[in-house]
Amino acid sequence: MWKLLPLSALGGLILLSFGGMGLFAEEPDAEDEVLQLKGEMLKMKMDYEGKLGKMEERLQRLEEGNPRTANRPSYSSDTPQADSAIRNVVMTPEEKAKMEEELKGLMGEKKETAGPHPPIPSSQMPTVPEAAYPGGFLQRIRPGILQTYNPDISVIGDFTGQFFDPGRGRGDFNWTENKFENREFADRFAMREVELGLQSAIDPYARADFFIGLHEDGIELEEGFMTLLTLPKGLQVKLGQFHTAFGKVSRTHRPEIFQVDYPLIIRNLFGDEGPKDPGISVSWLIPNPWDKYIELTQEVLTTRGANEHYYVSHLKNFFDLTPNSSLEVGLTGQTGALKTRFDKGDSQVHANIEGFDLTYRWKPITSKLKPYKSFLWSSEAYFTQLDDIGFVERDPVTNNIIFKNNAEDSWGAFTYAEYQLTRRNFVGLRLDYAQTLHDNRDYEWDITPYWTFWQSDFGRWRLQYSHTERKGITPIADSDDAFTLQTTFSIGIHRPHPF
Amino acid sequence: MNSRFNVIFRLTIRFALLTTSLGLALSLPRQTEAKLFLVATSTDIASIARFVGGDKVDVESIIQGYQNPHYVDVKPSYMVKLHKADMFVKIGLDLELWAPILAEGARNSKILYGAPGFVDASVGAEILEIPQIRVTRELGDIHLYGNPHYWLDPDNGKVIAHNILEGLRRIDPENSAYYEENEAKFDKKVDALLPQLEAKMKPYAGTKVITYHNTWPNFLNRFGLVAAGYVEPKPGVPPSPAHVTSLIEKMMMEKVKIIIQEPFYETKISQFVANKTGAKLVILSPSVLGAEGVTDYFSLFDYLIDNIIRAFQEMGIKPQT
Repeated sequence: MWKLLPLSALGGLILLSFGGMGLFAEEPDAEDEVLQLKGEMLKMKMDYEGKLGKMEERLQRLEEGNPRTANRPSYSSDTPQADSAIRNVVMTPEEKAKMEEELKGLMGEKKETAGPHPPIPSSQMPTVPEAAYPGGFLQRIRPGILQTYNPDISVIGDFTGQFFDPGRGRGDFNWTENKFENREFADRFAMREVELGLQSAIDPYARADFFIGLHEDGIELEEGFMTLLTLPKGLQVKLGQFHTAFGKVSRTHRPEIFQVDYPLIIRNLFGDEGPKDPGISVSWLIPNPWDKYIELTQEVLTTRGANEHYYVSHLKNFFDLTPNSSLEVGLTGQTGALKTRFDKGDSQVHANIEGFDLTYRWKPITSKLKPYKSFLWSSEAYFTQLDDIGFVERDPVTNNIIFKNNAEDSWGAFTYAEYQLTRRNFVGLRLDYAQTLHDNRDYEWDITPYWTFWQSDFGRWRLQYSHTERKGITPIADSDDAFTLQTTFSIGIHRPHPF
Repeated sequence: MNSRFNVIFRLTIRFALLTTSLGLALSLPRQTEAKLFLVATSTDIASIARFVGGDKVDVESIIQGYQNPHYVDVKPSYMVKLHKADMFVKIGLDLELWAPILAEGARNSKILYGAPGFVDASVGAEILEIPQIRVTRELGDIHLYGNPHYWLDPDNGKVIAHNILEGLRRIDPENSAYYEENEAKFDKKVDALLPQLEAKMKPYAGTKVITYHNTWPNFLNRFGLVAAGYVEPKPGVPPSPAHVTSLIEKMMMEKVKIIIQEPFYETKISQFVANKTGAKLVILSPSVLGAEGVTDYFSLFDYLIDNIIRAFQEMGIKPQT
């Protein structure tokens, strides 16, 4: 049996050899097939490229034959773009960088072109899949409905950084205590205000608006009022605490006005944050044969802290001069208790104030005009008659407490103009003049150029310079200068303000 | 108080009293006018309202056809218009964020939200691109309730007409039959026009275009065109160099030859893109009275289709047989 082993092994080897030969005998056939396939594919590729080339040529001839496109850079022309398109390598990184530079130059402003829209630089954009815009993953989940009954909520941040130079008079007068100005935010950064807004309909008849100011020294109700919307005869009633109908600028919250601060006369009369007190406001849209907007507002308010009443009347007239321009003329009268910027606690005075405001706007809406240009000019003047008053003042020379008792008439005015340079850039200038309320021999004037850049509808930067000169019989700081950077930013839904 | 200020004060008070007296005299009830007064936010809605209301209504719009409906100043003069209105028709979907301020300032309870004279024209319309995730401003000006340019599909025009009809039935039930008849005529006209428009555009089905803003999804969807990209990187966000460069690259890769832009945006970036890619910039108004000859809702579509086909032909885009 063992003799058979070599034979068996030999037989096995032979069988294996045959088998192997059989296997190897098939290999040349497969190789041929692969080669054949390769050849066919190459031929197909050549045919396809040939046809593609012919199609390209035809396309080129067609486009060259079209007089409208003959002079236009196109894929079939000899432009570098065309070459790169045909190569299917559309742009090299260098070409892209060059084009981006060209675009920056064209846009005039770094990473922006125009418009009141939110101009978030693309580099700072959160990464959202491209499909988000046309409707990709945005389509998958149903939005929540729980917030339907929530009010519109907004938060506005008002940040300032001010460099302040007291200038002349520094040595002999402490500017922080002068009777003209108490620059709370001078020479420092400050989160001047955070304004929380809550706005919603109460029911079918009324709506409510709350604005809560968070300041460095605490929380304050900026405004909180209910508006009755369904009264007859063009009437509307507002109850609560609100900015009074005094003039035009002072009705807007400080973070949203055209400059960093209210004008001098507004600050002197009502303080840094404008006139706001609890009361009732009745306004009436007066019918007239010319179909013009004429609104009369009558308000009764109580001074906070002192608990005395005062009365405000305002007549607002609005005229469309052209589709692109308008004029607003307002008259204001106020009488009764007045809590000026100098009155703290329960201190107050009594006064009559008459005012006049005029605002011209130009903003083209027609397609033929430049879409991102506008101009605004607004002026207000106020005449104040302070009743006989007794008040306490620190003598700036002797530093003694002195008592004054007098009646005083004074006036103040301001005018400002703002021009829109580009979609997001505005420049403006404000001129201020105000006599002090208690002594019209003292006065100050102010010139304030500023530049505003709207990062988006919801973020705004402002750079403002202010030079103030003072004259008077009392020894006061003659002048000072202030550079202010202001950034105002908002989140949430903040309803647009009336025009 | 000195005399000068007293004089000014007295004059002010007198003027206020005079104006008040005049207003009181004029505030007596007006004679009942034969026609209802409808105010629509846009010229498109106003045009449809004219068809439905016929000679029983006077219709005015707040904005003009060449204006951007997203941004409208809340002018008091618009409030005066709404003060007199019997019905107020909005495009809706939060396109006109300025409209509630106007309606509330108008002191007209007939047209406030929820009142019989308030009509949201979007109810029941086919709305595209309704966000399905939490929307933040990171996504640009995404409208929470979907793309509000839905009137650019004539089928949605019929829905708008029906919503206006419902409003007219509420405020003027006596003439319901008349308004229903008008609405039926309007629908019939749409049904007759739409196949013609579709037939005109059918040979170009699938053609890619670039649009400046995402104004056209309903229009493109209806007529078989494809938005290959947008000049704005996100809705309402102005173009950035990086985005424009990538758009140019995309257009060259995909050989897109048409850029559609509304008349109220600056054209320099779109023109730059067109120059670089050999594409044609076509300025198209998406609204009635936004271009010459576009006098009503039907001529709007004739104008749009004709101008797009002309642009295709100029760019050598051949109709597919």
